[in-house]
Amino acid sequence: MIFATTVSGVLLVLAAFAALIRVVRGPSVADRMVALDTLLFVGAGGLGLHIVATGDTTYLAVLVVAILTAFISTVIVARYIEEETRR
Amino acid sequence: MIADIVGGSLVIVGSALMALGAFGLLRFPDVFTRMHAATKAATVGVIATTTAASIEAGAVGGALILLVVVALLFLSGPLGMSLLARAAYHDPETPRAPSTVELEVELPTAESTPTNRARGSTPLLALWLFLVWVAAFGSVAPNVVVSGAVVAAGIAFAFRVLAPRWPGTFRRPFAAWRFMVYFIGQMAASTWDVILALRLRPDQIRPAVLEVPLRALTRNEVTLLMNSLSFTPGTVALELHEHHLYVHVLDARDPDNIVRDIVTMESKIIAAFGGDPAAAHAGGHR
Repeated sequence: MIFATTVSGVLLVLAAFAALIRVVRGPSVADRMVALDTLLFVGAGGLGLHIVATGDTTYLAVLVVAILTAFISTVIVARYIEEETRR
Repeated sequence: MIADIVGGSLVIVGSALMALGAFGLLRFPDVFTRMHAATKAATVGVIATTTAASIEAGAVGGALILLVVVALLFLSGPLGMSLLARAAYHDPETPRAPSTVELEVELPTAESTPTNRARGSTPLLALWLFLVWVAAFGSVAPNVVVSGAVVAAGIAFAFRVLAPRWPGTFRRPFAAWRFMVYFIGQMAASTWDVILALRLRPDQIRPAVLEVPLRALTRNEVTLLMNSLSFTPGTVALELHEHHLYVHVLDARDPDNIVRDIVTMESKIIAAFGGDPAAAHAGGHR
């Protein structure tokens, strides 16, 4: 079990780094948004990992919030790009 | 013990998929191809880790959270990505991979799709929801039964009032079931496709924008189709214009295959959730 959680943790950190690099490098707003979405998903994955590793299920519902936040922010940024294009 | 093994492997698989998806973000050449990585590999990864977490949480609470998370991911994930893809598609400043090609697909127009389109039935919908409620709690205690009856009746009534032409889904549970099984298979295949595409050098990837004529008529069908397509191998829905769907394809070396997938998905959706075409022509549902 410790092996599984350690490997998963390392993989998640790598994923978060990759997403962060894409956030910084862009080049377009949509690129950054996709990367931020992925970053949030990786955060949700980290939360799931925490629950599995410790057995502490207090924050299980936060997973729902994380995914909802990803959706709402994506929609907002999409609208923003569309407005920019129309001008 | 078994729960530990299952949970541990799910967590590893989920994290690995997320790592691969994030790697795809770095490696793929433009926004649209990166979306393939984000919507497929990363989404399946989140589902895997959430499943592990809810196994840890156990019965009722875990199952409910898992249900909510999966429903959210399937409904909101592709929707948000499609909106973003559409915005980026129309935005001239968003760079596109130079190897992207635009293809138009010719399909025989099937004006009369021979499907048994039927209106939904409110009592049946209520019964379905009630059964799901009882199954989610895994008990038939009086309070569960009573609250389930109230909630199911309420939702069914709300559908009747607010969306009277919501299609006859609950009359065709087997078609819906076949769609679900097909969809899950397609999701696994599409995740695998993204992973395979990671081997290619960025300039070897052959993305394309496909224009596909649609048979799906009602808004519900088109919405569900666009949502589902974001999970099928190699496609992200871009834009809908005069019953032509524009999808972005990750690997367009075999476009016939992808078109066949889209058409199959479409006919399964119509078979399972098809609404009343007359209603669609009369200005769509309210």
